[in-house]
Amino acid sequence: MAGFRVGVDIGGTFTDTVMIRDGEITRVKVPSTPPAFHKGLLNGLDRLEQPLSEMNLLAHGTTVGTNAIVARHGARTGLVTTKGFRDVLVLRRGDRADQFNLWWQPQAGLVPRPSRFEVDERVDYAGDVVKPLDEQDVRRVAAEIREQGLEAVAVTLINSFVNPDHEQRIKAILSEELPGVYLSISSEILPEILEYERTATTTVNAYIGPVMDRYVAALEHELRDKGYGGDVVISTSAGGVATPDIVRQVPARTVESGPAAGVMAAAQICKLAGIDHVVTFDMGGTSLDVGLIHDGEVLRTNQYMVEWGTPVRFPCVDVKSIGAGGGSIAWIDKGGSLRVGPHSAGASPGPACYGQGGTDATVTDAELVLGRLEASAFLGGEMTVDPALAEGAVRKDIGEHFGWDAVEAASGIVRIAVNNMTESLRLATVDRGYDPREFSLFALGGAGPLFAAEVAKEANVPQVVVPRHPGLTSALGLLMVDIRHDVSKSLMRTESQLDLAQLNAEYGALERKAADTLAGEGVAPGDMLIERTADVRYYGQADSINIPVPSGELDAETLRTVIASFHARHGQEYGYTMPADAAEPEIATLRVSGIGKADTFKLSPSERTGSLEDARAGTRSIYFDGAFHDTPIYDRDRLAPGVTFDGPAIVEQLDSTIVVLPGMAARVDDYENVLIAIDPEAAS
Amino acid sequence: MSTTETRLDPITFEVLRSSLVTICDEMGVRLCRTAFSPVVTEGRDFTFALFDADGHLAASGHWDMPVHFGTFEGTIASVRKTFGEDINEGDIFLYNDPYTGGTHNNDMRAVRPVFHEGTRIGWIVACAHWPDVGGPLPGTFNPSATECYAEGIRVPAVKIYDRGVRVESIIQLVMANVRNAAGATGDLQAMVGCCLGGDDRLRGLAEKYGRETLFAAYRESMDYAERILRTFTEALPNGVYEWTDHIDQDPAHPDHPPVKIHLRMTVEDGQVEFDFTDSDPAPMGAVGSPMPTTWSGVLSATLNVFPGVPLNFGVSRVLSMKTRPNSVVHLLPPTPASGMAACAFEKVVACTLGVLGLADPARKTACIFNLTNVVVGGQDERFGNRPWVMYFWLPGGYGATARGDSTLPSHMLFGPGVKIQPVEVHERFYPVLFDELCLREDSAGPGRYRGGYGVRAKFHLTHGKAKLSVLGDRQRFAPWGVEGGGDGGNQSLWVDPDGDDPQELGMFATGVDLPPASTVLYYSGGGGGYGNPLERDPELLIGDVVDGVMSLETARTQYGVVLREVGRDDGGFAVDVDATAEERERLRASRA
Repeated sequence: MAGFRVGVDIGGTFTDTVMIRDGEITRVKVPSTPPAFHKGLLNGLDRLEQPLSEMNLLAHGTTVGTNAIVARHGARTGLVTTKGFRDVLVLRRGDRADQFNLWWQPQAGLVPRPSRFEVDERVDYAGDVVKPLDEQDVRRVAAEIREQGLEAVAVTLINSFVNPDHEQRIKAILSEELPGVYLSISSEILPEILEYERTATTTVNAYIGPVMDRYVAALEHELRDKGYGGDVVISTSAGGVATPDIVRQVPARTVESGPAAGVMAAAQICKLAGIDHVVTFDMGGTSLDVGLIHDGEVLRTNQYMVEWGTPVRFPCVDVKSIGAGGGSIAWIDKGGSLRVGPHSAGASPGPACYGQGGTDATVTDAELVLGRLEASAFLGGEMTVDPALAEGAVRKDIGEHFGWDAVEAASGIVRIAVNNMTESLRLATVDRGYDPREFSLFALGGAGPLFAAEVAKEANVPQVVVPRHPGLTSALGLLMVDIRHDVSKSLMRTESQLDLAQLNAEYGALERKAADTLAGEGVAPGDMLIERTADVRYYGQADSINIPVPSGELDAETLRTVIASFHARHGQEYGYTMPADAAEPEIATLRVSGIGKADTFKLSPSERTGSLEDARAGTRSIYFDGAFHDTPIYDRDRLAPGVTFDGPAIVEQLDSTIVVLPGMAARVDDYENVLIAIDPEAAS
Repeated sequence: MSTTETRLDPITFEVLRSSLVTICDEMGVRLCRTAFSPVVTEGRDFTFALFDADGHLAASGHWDMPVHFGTFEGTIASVRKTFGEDINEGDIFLYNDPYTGGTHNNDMRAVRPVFHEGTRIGWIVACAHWPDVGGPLPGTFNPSATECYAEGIRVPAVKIYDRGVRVESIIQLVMANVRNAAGATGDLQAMVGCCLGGDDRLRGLAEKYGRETLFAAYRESMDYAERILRTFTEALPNGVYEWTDHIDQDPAHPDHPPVKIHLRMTVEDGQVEFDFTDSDPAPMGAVGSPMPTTWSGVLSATLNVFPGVPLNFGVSRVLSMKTRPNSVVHLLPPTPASGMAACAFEKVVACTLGVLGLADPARKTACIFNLTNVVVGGQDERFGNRPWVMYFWLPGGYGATARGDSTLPSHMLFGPGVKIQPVEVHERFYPVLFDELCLREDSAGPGRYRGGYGVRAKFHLTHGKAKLSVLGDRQRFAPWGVEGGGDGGNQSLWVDPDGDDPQELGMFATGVDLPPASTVLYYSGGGGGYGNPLERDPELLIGDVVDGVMSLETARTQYGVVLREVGRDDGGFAVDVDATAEERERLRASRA
């Protein structure tokens, strides 16, 4: 295909732009431009120096919504609730973020109390109307909203997930009374039980709605001015993309999209490499994001919180995030113990070695002292760092306290950082019933490949996979995913209460909703893939397990299969199942994913040839296992498929550095992934 | 501190210290996902802890219940006392005895000794609140009990796994004495699963680093906690500090005077002793606390005032406690303990906050609202008369502190991770309908800094009758203010508040009959205020009035601030400066 396509990952600090043209990948990194994030995106496009009329696709992930929440500069938002429940948003679930801290206080909510309105109405648990909606009350509220000049309104009534009539009526009245005000209706965007979580999600959606709307409009406008008439898609937290119109309707679906794209890319790359079970290890400057792929399927969750106490209950690629990045600061705590993170020096002032005024010893400084990072080749030479500053900081902040030299201190910092990361990996695998020995660790982000081998060893993961472009993988991932929409409906029927006709009708309605959305985005029926799942649990349990459900008319037999696979999964994840007389399985929530197959970017096998010697770039003295070793350095851009080498070794490339520890063995596969066997003897 | 034993290098220490805590957290994550009872999965009423081979606390999780922490060493001591040498690899014990090492009977503990190559290397305690452990009332909780025999099954240390073999007879004995044995079986199964997972991890550490290194990590973790706590306590001036608080009543003798809890804290060069010996004798009703729970209260309050101290045995080298046996904070059987969390425990916490504020004025806080247990149950006509028991609890106001106002409601220090059960879940599982659940107006304790607002909840029965029990305290002795600040709103519970015959049940009632369609109204307390309300910046009241949580009347009578209504664009209300000066002058004179 002539022309080119572009993936843009807009972060809080940098905007990463990746162009694919004739199979060649070009990368540009520019500063982000908050709050007008689209400017940074356009700057990146300019730097590509290509006519936009030849661009076929622009896919991007954005933190516009998340930033609006964290910085509290979203829309002036109102909330409409059932009479008696205006405070649901600030009462939350009442829990405290910190177990032993009297001084901790909950944050103010997104909607001040005078903008939280009540209307007289009530629906009970079964969906029966206990008190009809007082429409005069709704019009009174509308007048008040107009008076306050609010830009967005969230509507969440108690039990609206069972019977949405009152919310629909309120929507009709508000649309009529308040043209131009952004409306977010809970029974439309998240018809699921739990009033706080549903209200929070609906409110977040309203709060960032107008912000995203303006962002998308400005972006489309400027792109058109520059001659671009093609598709723009925006990535979602569920690991798909959506068109701007859908993003305008449900902007809260984009809040965790950045880390999701990395996991989706990992799934694609590992599929080609023939690897089924993967832990993704995405490490940048400030945080480590860990995701899970099992049997080729990306694990999703609906337990995401956009900040502490603010849940967004949409299916979201399940990424556990901890404060462990290259910029993580090493410090001595009150009890005299060495700690690393979660505070980070970030990009500015950055690690001490950046020489930008940062004086704290960071993980990056430690790696530089150990020789694993090369001062002159930092970020492919785009940036110079000063090893003397790193050494000074590590010695002064940490070494002097324990009577260590800089190298001992640096090695301690790395070991503690590795332990923190290993523990977070355990939370993602073992504690969910997965055996790490069956997984590969997929290293991405600028710092991922630097630590992956050491963490894999500690966590009993036998293999590390480093993709060809670790630092660009998230941006590339944006070009590899399909259009995706998830819809859901709380059902809550135990096995014996299930009515097959109702079940089929509910799935039918959800499937129509998903297909209509896809059609609205221009997906042809032949390119649609509709997948069903159900959240199943034992009656009384709070959490459920997501189980695949076959498509087509469900009968008693297929239902039995679904229940049987629930028992099996429960046994695997939790270690036990319940007999039928003790606890009946319950179908809690029905879910349907509508996937629009897109002509996505596919990696092709490499045609590069050459020997290991061709890639040899020198030797450096590097600290491993208590001593410095002369270690070969290889140039990633010259490593050809089929090449093998043993650790210790360092592989350098523009966007990352790979560390292979002594005793490990590495090989390059057909797609130029570097595969590291942690214990080659055990593997053979 | 010992100097002869193995010392770890600082890196190995930090790795192991952090791993021990993570093991506890992992067990918690797993229980949350596997237990049956909403009180565990949603209420998060559980705790995991790790102990050294001698049963000293080595690590505890991040998300657990402070009320449990002080009791676990007693748990293990009881197991060791009962079984002596007969403690073997593969054993698991069950236990809940409040008097020697439990909290209340609902808090069941699974206790697992961990072995490595035949040597005991530690202990795991998994503690979770079971929704029912028998007794005359659904939910077991029995505030009108006058003997512990009316509080459900008491389980001294018994073996439920003997060298890996499940002791079915003992488990059946326990299950025969609880309502909803199926749910309890699921919860027990989950607790056992967590113990086994933790056991694997601890043995893994011994395997990888060696037993001696693991033992050194226990010791040094304790030294570490001790060092951190001392940085705080050594800054306290030596001296004796006293505080008194009261439980509203002995429910067995409502005509008797309130029950006094008195704390005398002595600080001497960083060592802190908490002496409760001047507290009242044990009441007959179920409001006192056994000694282990009292210790939990002291620990919980102290570590809240000094954040960042890890909780393990090292803390016990700095803090100590004295109680008088058979007093309100040191119950002996058969005095009942059902209400200990809401009554004695909360007062122990309050007194501890009180004395620490006297010793360290920069950390002074007014009183926090009080835990309340509301239990309603009956038979659900919607589902073939299925028995139902609804536990109901609310967040409330925190006290204002030397640092400023308290903001939004949250749960008390008793259980910071506790979550409110959603209204939609209550209504689905129980035949009730909620009329409101919202901030409670005019409930914040007035002060230069004001306390937090309490919460109001109202619900009614939709199908059939029910029985209600409540135990919550602080109806009479409201959450107190400090430095001249006023009390927060007191707590109360009403039946049919809007009907012809409104009944204020207060905070002590058991098995009250609720006829069909009854309405229940419950107020959680507000937090106390800090400093003289007449010195509060008048402008700060406008926000509360605009929010509709403070009346103009309260602004005038409590704070001496006169507000007048102005246009919306001018903020809705403005301070009438002259009238305020006059009103404050008048109040100052009348209060003097």
